[in-house]
Amino acid sequence: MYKGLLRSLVRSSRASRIVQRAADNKRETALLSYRRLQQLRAGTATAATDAQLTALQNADPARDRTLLFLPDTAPLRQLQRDASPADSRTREAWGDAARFLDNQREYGELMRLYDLSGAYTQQERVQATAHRVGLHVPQN
Amino acid sequence: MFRSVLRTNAPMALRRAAPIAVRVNAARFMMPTRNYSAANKLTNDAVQTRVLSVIQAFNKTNSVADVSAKTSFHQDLGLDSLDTVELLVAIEEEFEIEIPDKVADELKTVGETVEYIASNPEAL
Amino acid sequence: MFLSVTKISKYGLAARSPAGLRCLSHFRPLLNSSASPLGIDNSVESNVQSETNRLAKGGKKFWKNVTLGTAPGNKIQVELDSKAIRTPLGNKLAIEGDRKLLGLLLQHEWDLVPDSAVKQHSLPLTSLVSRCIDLESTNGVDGDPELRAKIGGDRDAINKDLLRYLDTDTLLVFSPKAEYEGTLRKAQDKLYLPIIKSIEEYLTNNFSEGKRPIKLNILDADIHGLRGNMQDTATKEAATKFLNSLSAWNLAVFEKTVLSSKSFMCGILLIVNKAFHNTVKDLAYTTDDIVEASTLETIYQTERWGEVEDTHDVNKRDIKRNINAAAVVAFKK
Repeated sequence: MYKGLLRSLVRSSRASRIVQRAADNKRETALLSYRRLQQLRAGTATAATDAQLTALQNADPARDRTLLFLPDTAPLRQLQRDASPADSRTREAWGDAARFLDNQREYGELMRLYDLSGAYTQQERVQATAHRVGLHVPQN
Repeated sequence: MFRSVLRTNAPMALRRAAPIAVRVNAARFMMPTRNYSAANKLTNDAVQTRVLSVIQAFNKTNSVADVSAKTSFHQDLGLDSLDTVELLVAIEEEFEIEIPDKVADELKTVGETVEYIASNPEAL
Repeated sequence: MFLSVTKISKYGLAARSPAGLRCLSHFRPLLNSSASPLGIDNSVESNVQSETNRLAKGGKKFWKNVTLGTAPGNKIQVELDSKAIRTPLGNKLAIEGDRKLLGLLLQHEWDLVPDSAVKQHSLPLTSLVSRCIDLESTNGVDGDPELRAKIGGDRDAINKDLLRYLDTDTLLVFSPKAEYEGTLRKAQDKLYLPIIKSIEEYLTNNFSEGKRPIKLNILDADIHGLRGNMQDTATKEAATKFLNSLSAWNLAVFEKTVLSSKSFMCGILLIVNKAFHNTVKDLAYTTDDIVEASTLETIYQTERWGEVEDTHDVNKRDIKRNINAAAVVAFKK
């Protein structure tokens, strides 16, 4: 019961945080690229910015293993302590909660996949199309 | 992984699949190892390396100088039973498997966990 | 800050429309700082103007921490940086203390809101709970009739809308035996007939004048062809009594379930099992059962014709997330 709900919470939390991280990285990259341009114009060194940019480009939020854990499990533990696991209604409610989270997450993913939510940028859309037939869009 | 979502009608496909962002990114390096044939079965070493990275990412573990196959979740890493559940869920997600409760209850050390995963044909 | 949160949760109402798919731009107006006509604390509004502007401009969320706080009456409330989230009518998003599982999920829902591009489907629990709370507040003793009308919260009007679903209830419409080599019809008979019987008994025993037996009229394509279906007056009266027996909170849950499943009976099953302590064995159905009953025909269509990628699987998850959300909101320890 605890494990099932935890798993669903981890999955939905991870999914959103990966999307979030990716968006953050993109924003950060744009910012750094702009700074680099300014540095080039001003004739100052860009090495530090270059290094930051490379690090960002190599950062893959999907591989960040800290995202395999919930940031804070204290509330779930408290709930577990208060719950009566022998009560079948409670057990079912925890299952309903897990099913809600799973389907909510998958729904969001499909909305993204089918581009129903307008969340894709043009580049992501092209990439997704390429991946569908097993291709990769070349970097740059 | 990306393919698995498109193999609609398979109710398991989505549940097992990582979020789309993962699929897009992961596809790049995971594609070659993604079929289920025995030739591409994960080796114990490969599994252990990844299990150790997961343990490292867990902020509730004691800092243990060298984690090995013998390392016990409870005695060495200082994890209580709910901590261990957290770790095992993270490991499940890492390898995209679900460890049955009965099995999970018996996994007390890194080595036992690695062995279970390496023997699980579904582990990715 | 209250202002903008209020606007986000205004989704509560938007999300109620049956057509689930609206585009992102739908959310945009909710993030800007134009004044809301609904019950907003103006003293707060001026304070947070810059915050909301920032949110609108940068698409950035304006809070760091989502926490659960306590509220008078042993309630728990979801707070963003220690300030309560508000419903479309400006009520605090506060729930009873014995709905801790719901509290945890609400907190989780807000934790997941991304910095930008909040989608219309991102806050389903918040929107349902907002509806529950606003129905409660406008139908209470000092409820404001004007606000009640604004959110479509008049109980008689809600009853009337919901009763229409009983005429053409998904669980009362039977397919021709010729379709799908009779397999669909067989499955419908197996699944629907016992539910119909149990619900007839439930309505008879609890809501029928003098316990006169309630009979649900079905629509059998083989016998009735393509005509409409109507329930008897006694059935409608019993169903209305059932609706009137529900708290405002449970009525909102019921409404959500019926709109998602296109089935009044699925609503009864959900309320009886999730909000009440059901002891009648024949009425015991899980959320999976309810989803299956309400999507039976789609299951057969999919088997026959294959899944139309971007409709069936999206719809399937949509109904599952909605039914399970309703179950979680209904549950009380």
